[in-house]
Amino acid sequence: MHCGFLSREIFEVLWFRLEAPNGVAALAHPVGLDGIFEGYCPPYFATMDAAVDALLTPLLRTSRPTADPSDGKRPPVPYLMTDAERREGCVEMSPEGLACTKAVCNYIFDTYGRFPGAVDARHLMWFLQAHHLDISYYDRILPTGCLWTDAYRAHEEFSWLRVARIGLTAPRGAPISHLQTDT
Amino acid sequence: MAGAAEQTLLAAATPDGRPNVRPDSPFEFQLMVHTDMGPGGVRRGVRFGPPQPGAQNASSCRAMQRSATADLAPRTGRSLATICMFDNRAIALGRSLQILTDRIWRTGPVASRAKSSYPCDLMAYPQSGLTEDVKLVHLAKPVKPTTRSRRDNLRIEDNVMTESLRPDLLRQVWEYPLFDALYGRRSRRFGLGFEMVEGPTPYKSQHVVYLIDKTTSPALKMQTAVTPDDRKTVLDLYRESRRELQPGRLGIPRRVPPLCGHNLWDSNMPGSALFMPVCDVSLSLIAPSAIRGSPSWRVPGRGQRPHTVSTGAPSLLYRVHRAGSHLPQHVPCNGSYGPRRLDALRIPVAGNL
Repeated sequence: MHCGFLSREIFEVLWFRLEAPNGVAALAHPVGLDGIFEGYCPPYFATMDAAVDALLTPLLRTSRPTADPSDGKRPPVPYLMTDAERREGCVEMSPEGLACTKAVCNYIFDTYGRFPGAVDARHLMWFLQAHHLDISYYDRILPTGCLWTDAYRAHEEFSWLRVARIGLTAPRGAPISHLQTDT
Repeated sequence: MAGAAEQTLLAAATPDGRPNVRPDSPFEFQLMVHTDMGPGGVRRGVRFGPPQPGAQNASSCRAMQRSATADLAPRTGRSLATICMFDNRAIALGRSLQILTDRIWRTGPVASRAKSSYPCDLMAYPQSGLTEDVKLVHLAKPVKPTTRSRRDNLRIEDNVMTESLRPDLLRQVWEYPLFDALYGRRSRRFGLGFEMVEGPTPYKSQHVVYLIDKTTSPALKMQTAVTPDDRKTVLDLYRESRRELQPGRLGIPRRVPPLCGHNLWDSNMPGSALFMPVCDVSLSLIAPSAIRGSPSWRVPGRGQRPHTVSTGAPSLLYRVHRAGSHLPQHVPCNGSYGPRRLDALRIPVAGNL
């Protein structure tokens, strides 16, 4: 797990759209990736009202089917109860709630020139990285067999073939160096 | 592999030197840390198992077996770093077991701590734990059974584990498959003896509160949750949903920031696959606001008292008004540290929502 605690530059190379509230470039924050991953805020929506409607209107009880499909095909929910029974026990998204949400969101956008007001619309902090391990590194610094699981063993043959094919080998006891290649 | 110089640091060492044997304890568990100092190296390890002092086959974890039998190189800085790694693993494992068992009794014979037998160079590495054996002593202190609940019908003693910890239990925890853990996750982790009174799936357990399953491992049952066919479906869905944004490797600036200094050497290097989860904060803020403003929303854990729009909306707006002069609650604001940190992060000091 890696950390990118200041992610604005990473959003830039990801081609995310950055919006600067009131023209202050230092306050720019990523709002989305055009056409793929757009935030519920301007400029993807003309107003916050439109953003709230787009997000919450499908969740209104009146916007959803009131009975299970007649053909017997259940909706993809992992419950044994009917979908109607499940929805009866859930919090109802009401027109009053929509109005309240719009009031709050408009206040934030009108006051701070952006939504959300204090945090970025897109949040990226932790990376997860996967790569094949170079077992020779561990062989050099650890007793033989340490940190050795079935997963490592399954990859051992592959790893050594890969290293041998590209000609990157190091004798046991040689100084530790980072052998990086991309095949 | 433990030799004559083996020291039992925690198995029976009580402050006053008396053995702390609890023959009436619900179950018995033993945590032992062994060291074996030879003329040219250090042999060190941890062993978990039933209270059989001196038993060489009591290890219940493969990794612990390896560390227990590891014959490290001469005392160089490199080998000491390895020792530190072992110690951290032992401590983490011990804490996990403490949570797992809720109590760890010290049993077995008295043994001295014999700090004088530690090599001098090890004393310079307090993080290794070798110089501060008391760091692990807290794991050996008996913990009182706690109810964790105020339910009147709680009868915690009914199902307290009465058998010794199975030697293979730790191995099962250690080797539990990642994907079984991922797909075995449930948003509602309903426990024995629990009761859920709200939401669409109210339920009251027909069991009393259970501390430890003494006969079976739930992990084995959960493995049936995902069949091989299901796995293929998941992989197909992933491939269908995947969209290429850019060809080639992402050109993240290799500096601090955006990367952390300790990741510069390997993060996003050729040959690696980097996964970057991006959260939609705008969605996360809009949806809870609507729920709290809805008449049917009730304060979780407070029964049927509703929070309707008549009380919810002013509350939210009041928070918005306050936000103009307050830092976000999760930001430390002691002294001037908070504002400077915010300035460094280029986050406007504004809101509290």
